[in-house]
Amino acid sequence: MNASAALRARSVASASSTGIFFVSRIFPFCALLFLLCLAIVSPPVRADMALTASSEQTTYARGQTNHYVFDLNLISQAYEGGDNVIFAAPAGVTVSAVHYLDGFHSCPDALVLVLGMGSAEGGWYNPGYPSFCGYFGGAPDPGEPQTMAVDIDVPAAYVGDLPIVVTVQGDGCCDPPPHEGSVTLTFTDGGAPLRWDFDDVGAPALPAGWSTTTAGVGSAWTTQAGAGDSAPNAAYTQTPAATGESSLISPAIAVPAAGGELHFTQRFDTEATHDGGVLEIALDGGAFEDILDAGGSFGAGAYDSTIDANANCTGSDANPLSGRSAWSGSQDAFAPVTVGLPAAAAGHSAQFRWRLGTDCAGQADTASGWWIDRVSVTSSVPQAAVGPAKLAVSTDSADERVETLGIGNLGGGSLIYAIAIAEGGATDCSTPSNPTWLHLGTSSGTVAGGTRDDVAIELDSSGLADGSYSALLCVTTNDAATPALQIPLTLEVTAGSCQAVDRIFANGFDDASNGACGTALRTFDDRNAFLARIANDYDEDRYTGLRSGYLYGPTAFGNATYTYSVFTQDGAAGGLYLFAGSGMLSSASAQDQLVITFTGAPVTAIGGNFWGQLFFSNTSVDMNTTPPTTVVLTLDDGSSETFTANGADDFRGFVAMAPIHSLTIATPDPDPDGDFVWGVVDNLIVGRAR
Amino acid sequence: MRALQGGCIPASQSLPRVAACGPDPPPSFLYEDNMNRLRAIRFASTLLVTSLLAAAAAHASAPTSRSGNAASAPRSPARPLTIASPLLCADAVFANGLDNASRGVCGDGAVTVYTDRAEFLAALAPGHIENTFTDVAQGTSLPLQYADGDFNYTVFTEFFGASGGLYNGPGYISTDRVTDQIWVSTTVDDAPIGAIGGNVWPSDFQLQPTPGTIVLTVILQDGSTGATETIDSGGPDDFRGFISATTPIAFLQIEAPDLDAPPAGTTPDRWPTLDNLIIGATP
Repeated sequence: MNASAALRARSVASASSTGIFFVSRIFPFCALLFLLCLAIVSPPVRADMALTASSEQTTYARGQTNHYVFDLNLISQAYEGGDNVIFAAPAGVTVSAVHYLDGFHSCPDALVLVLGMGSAEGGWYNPGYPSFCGYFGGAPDPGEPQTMAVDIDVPAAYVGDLPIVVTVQGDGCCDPPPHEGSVTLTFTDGGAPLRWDFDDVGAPALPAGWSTTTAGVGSAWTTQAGAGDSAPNAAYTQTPAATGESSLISPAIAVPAAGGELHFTQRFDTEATHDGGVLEIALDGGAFEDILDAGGSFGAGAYDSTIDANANCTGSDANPLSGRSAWSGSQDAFAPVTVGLPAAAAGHSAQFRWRLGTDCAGQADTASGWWIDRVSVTSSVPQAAVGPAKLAVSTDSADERVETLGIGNLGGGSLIYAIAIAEGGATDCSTPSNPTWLHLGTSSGTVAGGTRDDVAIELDSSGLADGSYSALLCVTTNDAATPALQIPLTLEVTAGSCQAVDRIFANGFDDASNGACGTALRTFDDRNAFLARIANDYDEDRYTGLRSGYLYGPTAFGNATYTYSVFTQDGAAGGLYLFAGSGMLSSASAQDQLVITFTGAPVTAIGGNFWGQLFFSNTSVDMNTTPPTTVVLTLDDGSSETFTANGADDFRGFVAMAPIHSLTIATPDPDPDGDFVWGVVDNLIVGRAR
Repeated sequence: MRALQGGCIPASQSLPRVAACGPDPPPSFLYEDNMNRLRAIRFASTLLVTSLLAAAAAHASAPTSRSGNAASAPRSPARPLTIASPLLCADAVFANGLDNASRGVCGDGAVTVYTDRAEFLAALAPGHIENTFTDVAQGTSLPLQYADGDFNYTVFTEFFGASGGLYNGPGYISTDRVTDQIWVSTTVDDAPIGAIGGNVWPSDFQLQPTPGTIVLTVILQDGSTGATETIDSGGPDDFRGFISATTPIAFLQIEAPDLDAPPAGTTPDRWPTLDNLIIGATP
């Protein structure tokens, strides 16, 4: 069948099914007659609803939202349409947004609801299912193309392949069955770091896959709220004043084929040298042995003691770890531990065991114990997270200011970096310089996996005339994905400005630091670098599973501390419109701006994903596209950030000295077709500078 | 991108409430809040109901009721609302005096309105049922169909012209779209419902109770408006019950109109909310 013939056939079938829908709903007896007529003039057809699916993406990244485009083909010899299109993920993985991109609609006026966002199964549902005329058109083999985009949130601790089951439930227009087809697309692990912060469970529960064992009088490991290095939880066990042991055992973890590292943070308070803990590893379900005996090594936070014999606790009263190297004594603050995994672990399954041993003596109280947090397994390859991406400082003359450039290694191995300075309007650092007003605490360094260097940026306006001074910080790293970064830096000097301004406002009311003169705005384009600079009590809104449709007034979001309302600008053409299942905030009119007004505790840090979403276009049948879009973010003090956003992963964050009262999101430029693109926001983080 | 053929290309794209043109609009579910369209559908639906109900009723299939569950999609068809006969009362609004809190008399369909739950329960025939919606989870849902005792009924948005489905709170009912109503409906095949009542209040975007107005409308199976009741709601304790003297109740509409003049900087948006639904027979 050629294309035009297929189109005619589809149109005829669609018209027929539409007619069946209308007639069967309104004039049932006429519908019966209509069907009878069809049966007389047409040979029997088989309504074998089936489905094929493909996606250009083949992998997933844990710990983030994965944006997948599914190319579906709805196959039905009888042109049965689909009422429901459902995406199902494994437990713990959630479908957070669905977007319809393109396809033929059997009944374009059908009421189609989006259900299940934020759960493991969701998609489009027809409340009249089986409606006899589904919205999603089907056609004989090879089927009717239907293109859909689905956001899948994969937890940082998800392990294994990621199967997504796509099911289409037909409208039931034409017997015989089946009226349902499904297909599974499996995405493989893209190698993103595996992380547990113990914060997604309610204390005292351990995360899925984690377990605890005890011997003697040992206390089981639990999660403890309010004790975490990452709020709120950490894994914890108490040190009893009697002989025993307590073990915290991880799930089996696939170690990268190229080798891997284990990172975690810990603090402990045990009876020095008599009670203490060790780290053990078991490969491929084998027996546990000490991480060092197995061939591993400590890059940071190595064992600091040896469990010795206590004369008062001998024989069966002795510490079961007696004689072994261990962590023992007191470490009051969380500190990182980096472990290079044994070469034998590469490409194999590994389990880790944090094992606390105690002898018959000691003191059992709530202050004693062992706390573990921020556990991650990464490859041995460094992954840089550098921020801020832009720094703007304004100050009085003769002022000295120290800002910080964070250089973190989210991966493993050693991240090697170097920083050069170019002055004035330089576009690169091919001609380095050393301006008198700008000094770096260091110009190079090495960052172990899971840790961060904070490089001091010393700004000294002494002797500078009023005016604007600029420089470029050029950061080079051995991270192949981020070999070079350029960080613009501006210093605005105004004599007497500190006397003119209100010092209370200058330090932002709740700034625990120093009420410094002037202002500083740090702009980030790396979410991890931004998060490293803000306090733990921040609010993050993912806008999944919200009510949808028009909103005609300011709408509130936030947590108990940080609250904000979202609406459009004064004089806007309309209010908000939340597209069902879109998982983002947007205005009703593409040319309106989103205005976020902070209404709770003072906010000095905000960040999120900002981009341009073309929900629909007057010049194209494609929907929900994300064309490159100029996005302008403006703070209430007039500071602004303009950038070209290419999609939902584009991030911008601001950390300021003074409270930020509002943020405006605009996409002022039309695309080449003359269409204006909606400026949207997702995953907004609201908090305060650390 | 594939270009469309002809048509106007506006200076800006907006959802239809703002402005939109184009020969080949996006699928309707992106346009479902077009208020002009919605109003047109509602008007047309009224005509459709009154003119086609008899035929539809004759074809109403045996109910396949199921317990509501917000977390799963029903696998059985939603049953159409059917009413026994075409509209009998020429103008039910005039018949009940616009906003009569006592009874809107239309033909023989006198409806008594109760504001006290205990009085309402005392006036019911034995065998009433109550739905506290404890099995309803927060979030969007399809129609909730219930069979309890002698009564079969469906809780959803308006049958014609709804722009979305339900968006429930934990243990109570609300709508996804601010413009939609909650409808509690039954069919002529089911045991006649002579009494219906429940707690109703306006909620905000976050499902929290908020000051506002609730309008309840009782439609009888003869097509007439049995009663229209307006509440300046104080919250989830607000109760209204309706008992029809003779003509069975076809459905109850619950609407939360937007505020006409909200305080500066606040939203006019209100969503209808329902809990502790009581259904019974005329004594």
